[in-house]
Amino acid sequence: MTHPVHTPVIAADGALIRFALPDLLGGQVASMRIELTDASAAEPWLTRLVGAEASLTALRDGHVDVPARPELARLALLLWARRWWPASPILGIPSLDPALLDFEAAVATTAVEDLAEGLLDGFEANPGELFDAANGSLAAGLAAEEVRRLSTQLSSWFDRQDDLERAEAAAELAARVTPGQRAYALAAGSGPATSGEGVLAEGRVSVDWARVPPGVLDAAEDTVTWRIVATRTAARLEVEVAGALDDASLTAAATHDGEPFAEVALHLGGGGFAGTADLDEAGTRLAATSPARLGLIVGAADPDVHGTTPEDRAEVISLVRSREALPPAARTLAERAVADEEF
Amino acid sequence: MLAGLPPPLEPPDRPVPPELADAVSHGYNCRCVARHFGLDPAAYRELPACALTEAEYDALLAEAFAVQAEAKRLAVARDVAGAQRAYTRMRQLAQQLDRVSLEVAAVSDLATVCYSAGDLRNARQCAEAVLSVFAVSTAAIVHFGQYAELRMIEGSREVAERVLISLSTEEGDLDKARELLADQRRRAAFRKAAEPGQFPREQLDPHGADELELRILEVRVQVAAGDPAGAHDAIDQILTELDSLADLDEVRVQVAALQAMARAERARIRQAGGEEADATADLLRLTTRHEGPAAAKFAIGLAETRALGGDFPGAIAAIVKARDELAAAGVTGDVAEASYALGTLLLLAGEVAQARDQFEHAGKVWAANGDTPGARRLASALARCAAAESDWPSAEQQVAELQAAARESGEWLECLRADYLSATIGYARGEDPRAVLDLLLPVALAAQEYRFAFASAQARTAWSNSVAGPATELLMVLLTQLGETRLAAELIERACAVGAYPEDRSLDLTGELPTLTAAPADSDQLPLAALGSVTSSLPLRLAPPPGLRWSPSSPMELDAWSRLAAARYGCVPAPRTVESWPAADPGRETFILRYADAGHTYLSWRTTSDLDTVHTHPIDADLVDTARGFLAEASPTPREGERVADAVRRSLDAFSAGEQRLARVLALNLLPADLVAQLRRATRPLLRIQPSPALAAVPWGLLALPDRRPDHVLEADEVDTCFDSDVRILDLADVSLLAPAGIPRREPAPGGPPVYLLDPRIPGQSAFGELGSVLGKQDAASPLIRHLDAQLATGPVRPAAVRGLDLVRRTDTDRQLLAELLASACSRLVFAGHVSRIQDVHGAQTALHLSCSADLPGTAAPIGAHRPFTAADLALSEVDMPARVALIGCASDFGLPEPFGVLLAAVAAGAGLVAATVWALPTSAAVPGADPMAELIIAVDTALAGPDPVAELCAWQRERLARWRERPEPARSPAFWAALTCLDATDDGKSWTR
Repeated sequence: MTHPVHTPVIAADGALIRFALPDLLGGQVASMRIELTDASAAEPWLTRLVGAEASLTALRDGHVDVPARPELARLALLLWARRWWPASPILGIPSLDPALLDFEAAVATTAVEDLAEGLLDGFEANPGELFDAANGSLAAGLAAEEVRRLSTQLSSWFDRQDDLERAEAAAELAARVTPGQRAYALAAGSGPATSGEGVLAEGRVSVDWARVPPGVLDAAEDTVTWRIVATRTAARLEVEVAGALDDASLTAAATHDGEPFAEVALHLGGGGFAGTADLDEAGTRLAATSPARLGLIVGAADPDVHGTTPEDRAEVISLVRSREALPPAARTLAERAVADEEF
Repeated sequence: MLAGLPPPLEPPDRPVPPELADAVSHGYNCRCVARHFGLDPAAYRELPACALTEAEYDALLAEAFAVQAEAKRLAVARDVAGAQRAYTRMRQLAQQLDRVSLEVAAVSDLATVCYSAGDLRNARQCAEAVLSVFAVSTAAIVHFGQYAELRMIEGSREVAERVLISLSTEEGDLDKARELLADQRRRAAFRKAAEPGQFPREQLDPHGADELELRILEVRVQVAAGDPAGAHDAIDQILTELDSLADLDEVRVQVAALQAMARAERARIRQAGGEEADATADLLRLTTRHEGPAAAKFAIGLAETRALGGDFPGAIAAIVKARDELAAAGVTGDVAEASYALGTLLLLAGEVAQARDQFEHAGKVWAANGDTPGARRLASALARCAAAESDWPSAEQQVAELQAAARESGEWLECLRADYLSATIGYARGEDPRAVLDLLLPVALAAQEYRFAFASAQARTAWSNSVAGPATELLMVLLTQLGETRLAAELIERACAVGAYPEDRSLDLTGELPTLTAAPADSDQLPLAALGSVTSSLPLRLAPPPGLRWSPSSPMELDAWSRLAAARYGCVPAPRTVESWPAADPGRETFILRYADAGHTYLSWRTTSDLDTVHTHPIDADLVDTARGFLAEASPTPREGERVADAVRRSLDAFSAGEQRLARVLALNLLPADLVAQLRRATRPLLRIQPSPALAAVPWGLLALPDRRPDHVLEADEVDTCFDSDVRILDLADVSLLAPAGIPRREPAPGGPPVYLLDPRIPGQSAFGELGSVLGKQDAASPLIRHLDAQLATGPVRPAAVRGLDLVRRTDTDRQLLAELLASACSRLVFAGHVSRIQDVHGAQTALHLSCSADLPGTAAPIGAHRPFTAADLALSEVDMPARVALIGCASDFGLPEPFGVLLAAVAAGAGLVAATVWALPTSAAVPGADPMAELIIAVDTALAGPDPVAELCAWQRERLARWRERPEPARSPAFWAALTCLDATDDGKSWTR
């Protein structure tokens, strides 16, 4: 259970602040662990955050468990959701609007800055950058009321930081947002799949979340169909990935005993991502002789990638599902927006 | 002392039966046996084996078994020459030991080797030798009580008889083959029933592998008997069962050999049926899993496909290499195959003289091997060579010989192939076209008919593309040349009559999961593959066309030809007769248009006022392609790999930029001048159309009527020169589609309230996702909701609701509720939602997306928490459809090689009129501020409630067309309304009800 998908973390200046995923997703965060990576860098904010006694423990042991601070827990939740939220139309887990996540993360970082100044020095993104990322692409009308309120709040925070340009942009955003309607499904008929002629080998596999960018593919299991079919001259690898949520540059690799032997670029089309590649004679031979030993990896096939297991994914799915029962305040802005819009 | 054998039970001095006279054998009646029984040794002969010591005997025996093992290994590797050398050595050893059972084992194995090498003559000689020795030998065993040899000799007899089964099959003596098969099974049963220990385990077929071998032999008999369809199913089943035995150590080697044998057989069957890709897959498996000559044989088949793929030199080189390897190994039959394949490729390349040399080489080998089917293939090949050189006398002589040989064989498929070849040669020669027709028409009818014998849709389609297709294409060209309008029209209508329908309706939508779903054999069996097998195992029948009646005054002219086909090829004529024309309103001219694809596309048209005058027109395949190209550009149905949003944008742009051009190109290419002229003269005409698969997505009403015809093929920008005005079919006529006459109609159900399934919520799917809302968020002021509220004000609807808003985005509108809602009388069903199609040759997996959760019964694999409701589910369930149905979101069922899908399933379930669209309908999300989707649903619901839905919907489209002409903006685009068409099954096929 050490996979990053299970270990939400804030990379603070000189320390890692860790939370337990079930606590974080369950909305009941009792404690957090601070692990020092650079004591001198961490010291200025550490005492302010946890007090002298816990601070000393941390400096002595290298880590300390302290009662969680909600501001940090919220930021950790948002960072985790940005990377690992298992959006899945197949499983009924909605996609979260990345702009809303960025926007709320901007707000959360300001809260953390107010709580312990310097904690986020050198952090992956500061409130300004997160706000900039969100500002251009906030979906029209999603959670308009709340976006307006938080924009006003951000505007005055930027103002206090003497970031007048952003203060103005945030105020302008607050004035701009109006409730509206998202586009719904486009066509009432839907697309084709391919025929099963000349199949030498075929299989169905799952997407490993750690090998693909977030928010691109449905997080459900068994969404990938691949087959190797005979052609007049050799054989062709065909891959289809059901459930595309966004476009991205993706590849897949056919493997024999886990070793990649052919690569195929995947393109987003009507039924999801798909791609085909002609196999050379060696690849054809593998498909014809040992179909049971073939497999397929979608995304980065690099053996160094710390992959997720089906158990990892199932646990996260079940934790995320149970969030539907949480009170609105415990959910992220992006989750609330999706729930409000659904019909 | 007796070396190598136990003493016999009986003394050698009893009188011998006549067949054993003068026979002397070690261990039976030799000098050592006499000594054992205390008889005078001098009266008995001493054989060389008698002089061996026990140790010497054992050493020789061990060597014999080792040599046999080596010989078998060589035989598996198809080193025939090597195997023959080893068996010769084994026979020498057997003679040294004077051991008949050993020699018989060698000879029976040799029979197998010779057969597999294509040397049928020697195979027969060996097998028959084994059987005659067997008779004498068993007599000796019983008489002298020397039972030690019995088991081995029994095993050899089985081997020899299996070779005879194959030989009888090849020679066309199928009764003999079947009899021998029955003998094998009877003896196997006898051995199994015997007391334990009486037979060794390997003769008891503990895993059923021997039985599978018999079944493979039986498949060959089926193929020879002209039942490739039955063979196709059987060999698939056999391979599945072999797979399940593959991991058993005890039969590993045997199963591997049987798998190779069965795969080779399947590749042959698939090739003959036109399933090229699947045949290639089998050949690839075979070549890569074998080496040397064993692989070389399959490399020939692969090289032939490679040549079709364009690599002619590579293919020739590959075959020559394989042939050298096979010749070195002594596999003469395969050498002949290689030469034949070379000849075929050379002939395709136009190298007739070289091709003939190759064919003649193959022919020599076949003659030497005593291969009778080979003789027929040679005659056919030489006939084609002669025809290619326009040497007609020789071509006709060869083909006449071929026909005679085929008739002699009594195999209908052989006869059919021979007659087809004769017809093509006659046609190429420019012989009397009537004589060609006499030959070709029954061939085409029988070939078309046989398609329906295949259980798998894929095999059916391959058959009609590669076997029936070419004959039909040639036939249609010939009929056109001959001006045989009526026969051509009848063939078109016959093709249009084909449809699938359920044989029985056994799927209980309210009950348990059905057992139909084929259980996946293991974890790497896939849902998609499983889906295919489910489809083929469903009790859905693609019916051969029923007998048709041409008009009240006239039967079909084809009937006589069908009888001729039945007489020549043994196919059975259709038992019942269905009317081929719809009833017409008095005072209304009804046009019947039927299109069929056969290389080119053919149209037949006539009117109900004069059913016996028919017009047929060939539409050149290029013109059809052009029309399809224009249509594909404008249709919002996503192309392969295209995103839905892109497809909708493309479609709206195409209509904005060139709607009139589209309407004109389609009309010029698809509507002949005589039809247009008569349409212009008619009063309030009704067009009843059955499109061919190529024309399934044509929005007929939109087509513009040309004022003149071009005298040459036009460039796109010249099209307008043929038009003075912008009169559309819709401006003059009403349009509706015809359903295949072969789908049985049902009595219309009584009326009642309407049933609405509007934008069902699909479990797990967000309103904004791929399977999301098609209507968008509705409120009390939305046009559709106001329409529904108005309906509610006039009377009840189902599901029971108080407000219109309660009828959309429901979560309970699943197949169970549907069945309940339709169980009591209702007047119409209006569905608007998602429809999807598994791209298949068969539409049985076209699916409506209702609110069904995955735990409801059905034939489709679930999508997460949701199970789609397929055409097969509908057809097999006991749901009766109301008289009028709207399936909005549905693309037409006519685009598939086998027209079937939710529309036609609805007709089979009792719907008379089905309103649907010929392309995937864009929702109003594409045009913010307008709601064309709601307008369409309202129009359809209103029309279905009225007296004449077809007329009313056409009037609505006419009004849409006027709005579009007035201001061609996206919200008014034909993309939203032109695809709507009614499939009307109320006025035809009345005589065919169930």
